[in-house]
Amino acid sequence: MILSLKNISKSFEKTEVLKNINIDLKEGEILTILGSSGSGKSTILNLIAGFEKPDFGEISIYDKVASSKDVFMEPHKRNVGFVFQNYALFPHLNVFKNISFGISNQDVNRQKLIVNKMMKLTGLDGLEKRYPHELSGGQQQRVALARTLATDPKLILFDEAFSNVDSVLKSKIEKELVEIIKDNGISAIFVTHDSKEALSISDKIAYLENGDIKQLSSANGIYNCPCSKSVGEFFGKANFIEKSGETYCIRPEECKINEELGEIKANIGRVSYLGERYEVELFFDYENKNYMFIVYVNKHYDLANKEYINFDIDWEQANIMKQERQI
Amino acid sequence: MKLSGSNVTWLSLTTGLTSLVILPIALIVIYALGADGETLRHIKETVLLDYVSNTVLLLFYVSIASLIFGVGSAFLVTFYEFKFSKVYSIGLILPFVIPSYILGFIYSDVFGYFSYFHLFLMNIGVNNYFNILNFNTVSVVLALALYPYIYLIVRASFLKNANTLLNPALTLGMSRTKALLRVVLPLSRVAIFGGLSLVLMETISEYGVVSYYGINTLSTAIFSTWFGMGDSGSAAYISSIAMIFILVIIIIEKFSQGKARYTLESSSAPLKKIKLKGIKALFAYIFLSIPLFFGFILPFVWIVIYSFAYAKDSLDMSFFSVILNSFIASGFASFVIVVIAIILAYTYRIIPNFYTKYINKFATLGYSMPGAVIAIGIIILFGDFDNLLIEYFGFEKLLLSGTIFALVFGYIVRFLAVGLNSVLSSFEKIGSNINRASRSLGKNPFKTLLHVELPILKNSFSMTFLLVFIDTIKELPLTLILRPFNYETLATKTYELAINEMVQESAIYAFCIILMCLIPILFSLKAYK
Repeated sequence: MILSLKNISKSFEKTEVLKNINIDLKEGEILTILGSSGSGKSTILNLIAGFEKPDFGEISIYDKVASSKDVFMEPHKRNVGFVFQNYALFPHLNVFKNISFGISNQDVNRQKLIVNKMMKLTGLDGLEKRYPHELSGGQQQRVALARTLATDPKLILFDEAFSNVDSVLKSKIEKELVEIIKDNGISAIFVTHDSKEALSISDKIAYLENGDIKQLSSANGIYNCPCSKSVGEFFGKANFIEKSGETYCIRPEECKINEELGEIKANIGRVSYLGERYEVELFFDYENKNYMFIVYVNKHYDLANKEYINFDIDWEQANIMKQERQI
Repeated sequence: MKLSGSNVTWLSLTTGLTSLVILPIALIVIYALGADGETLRHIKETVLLDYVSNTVLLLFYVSIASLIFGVGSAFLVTFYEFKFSKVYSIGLILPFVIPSYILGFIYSDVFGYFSYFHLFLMNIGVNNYFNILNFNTVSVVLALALYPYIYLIVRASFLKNANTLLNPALTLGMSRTKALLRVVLPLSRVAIFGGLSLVLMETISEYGVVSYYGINTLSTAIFSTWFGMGDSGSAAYISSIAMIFILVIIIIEKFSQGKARYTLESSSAPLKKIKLKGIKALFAYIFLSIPLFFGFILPFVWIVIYSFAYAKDSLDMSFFSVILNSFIASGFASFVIVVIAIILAYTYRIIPNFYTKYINKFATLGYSMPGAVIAIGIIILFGDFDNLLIEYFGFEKLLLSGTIFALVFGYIVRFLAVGLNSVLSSFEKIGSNINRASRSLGKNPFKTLLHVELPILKNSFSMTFLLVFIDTIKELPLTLILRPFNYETLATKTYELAINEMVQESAIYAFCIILMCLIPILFSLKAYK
């Protein structure tokens, strides 16, 4: 096991920031910790890196205890990479020296070899003499990654690492980054509040609310089988309906308009045009209860002058909400 | 929880250094509690009440005058616009560069019995000489020298509060004057008390002016008890009374804050000022010109004139040896202060907990203490240490007492706060991620400091050195008590010449001090604007 957090709790003054956190991470796995601001996401990374000490619980890294009641391994001894939101590049060092910073105890030729390899890997060729302030945001992020990779960590932590990059560049870098991580057999934890980013890069996702992990699942599991309404709604538009005593989470794309034979007849509410489709509010009764659903309707569909519409729920694809936190 | 190896090292260093720095203050308390004997009984029965009542009265007068100068001028330059208002807003800080004792000496020369001013009065038939060497003059001189503390803090607070709250108050139908008086001024209460408490602490610490003008305060009493009677117990007793005064001021200042620890988001919109014209503008000019003229222009011109007049006679070897002495003592002390400040601030940076936070507060205790009090504490400490060496280790003479080390240590105790606050804010500016990044890349705290933070902050730390250096150059009472025999610095030489009726000859030494004090002011003007 690359990383294991057992019953970790942490308070700042009288505020409990993390409550009984348990996480395991295997070699090569990518975990994303997701949650709103102040939910305790970054604190988990700080505890793993050794920047903070837990109040209770045990952290093991590479099968060695790094933090416990009796043990505290300092950050510089953990060999855990960390990529910061603001990159934290050293402003007085050029790109080459920033990347070689963590391997300065090795001989100069080996340093050059590693730095060149990292620069190639991260697409920074030719920029070695530039200083951080002479680089674009995307380039700075690559330097931060290359600097971390140079020390050959088996675990890298990314704290909102994409939040300073524009959305076009973001998806490109994300893709490249995941490739590098997977190709090198590195395990990684990303912290973000962007659910789309989490779904696209993660093997596992932990959803954190008020310092508590509400759900830890695969990307697919947390999207389709959320354990609560709040988790379901965090990952996109979600409808909830009761059928035969069970609560189902129905995503808008799982509702199909079927004007002639649709199972449910609904009143049409607000219609929003989204470009590629309409987003429509539908009001209906089902098993003696009132519901409001959001469904997507093809942009070529004529909704003008219509008060009612029939639709089907794809019950085979729909998932029953489960209370289990780990799926 | 087990502490890691490097954390133990940093915590031990910090604890050791802080203990050393607060030891002289702790010794004052211990000696004061055990003080007894004929001298103390005599002091208590005869002059102690005078010392205390004079100090209280002086604090009262200086408070009133410096509040008028400080709050009044901050109010006018912040909320009103008139020709040269920007010049005034910058110029009003300048009295900061002239130490109060120099201001006091100059006024005795300019308005004293043998001054041109008095001759002029006699020529125009005014024969009733008014004695300038009195309590009121001392109060005004101290207020002129110290009001910039209030001016700077209150102006910043006015700007912040007015920017954010003036417009909402106006839109709610308040008149502008009412909004200023009922919203902005009460919100600046904390700033006013903050500035005033600094003025009061400096007043308690003041020695040069009060001794020159013959006013007996607690500060002069410490001198006369030590130099006149050689009684460290009694000196410690009087010092502890001064410390109680300081403590009361700190408590009142904290109390004044109450629950008013509000912070407001500053608005980026510039403050709309009222234009003053005619009689109102004239009033503003007169009001603002008084502190500017008497606090800076007049004394500065006097110093420049007499510096040049006496330059020929003064620029000899002894002049340069005084400068060298000042540079050695202040340079050495400032360097050590910056090093200690970096150690203390860095420990807090890597181990930010309750203990390191409060140990830093303890380390800055000396700054609120009068220089004379600290000096007595160090004399007691080094005296006891030397006696120990003589008694138990066979030393034949005093090792530390009366040496430059005593003086340097005094500066460290008194001015560590200046260095520590400046270093702490420098660290804060670069944020914690730089440090964390280095440590996650395998560097221990010391290597991180050496290879990352020192190179990044070297300019800030140089500025810290400069700030501390200037404070130590200006310091008079502590230097007078702790300097080695015949060791003259710029501050002591200015004082010695002045009390020996050679005020004009002292101008060139005062000029050197003022030139140095101007450097950080000029540096910070850009930020101030």
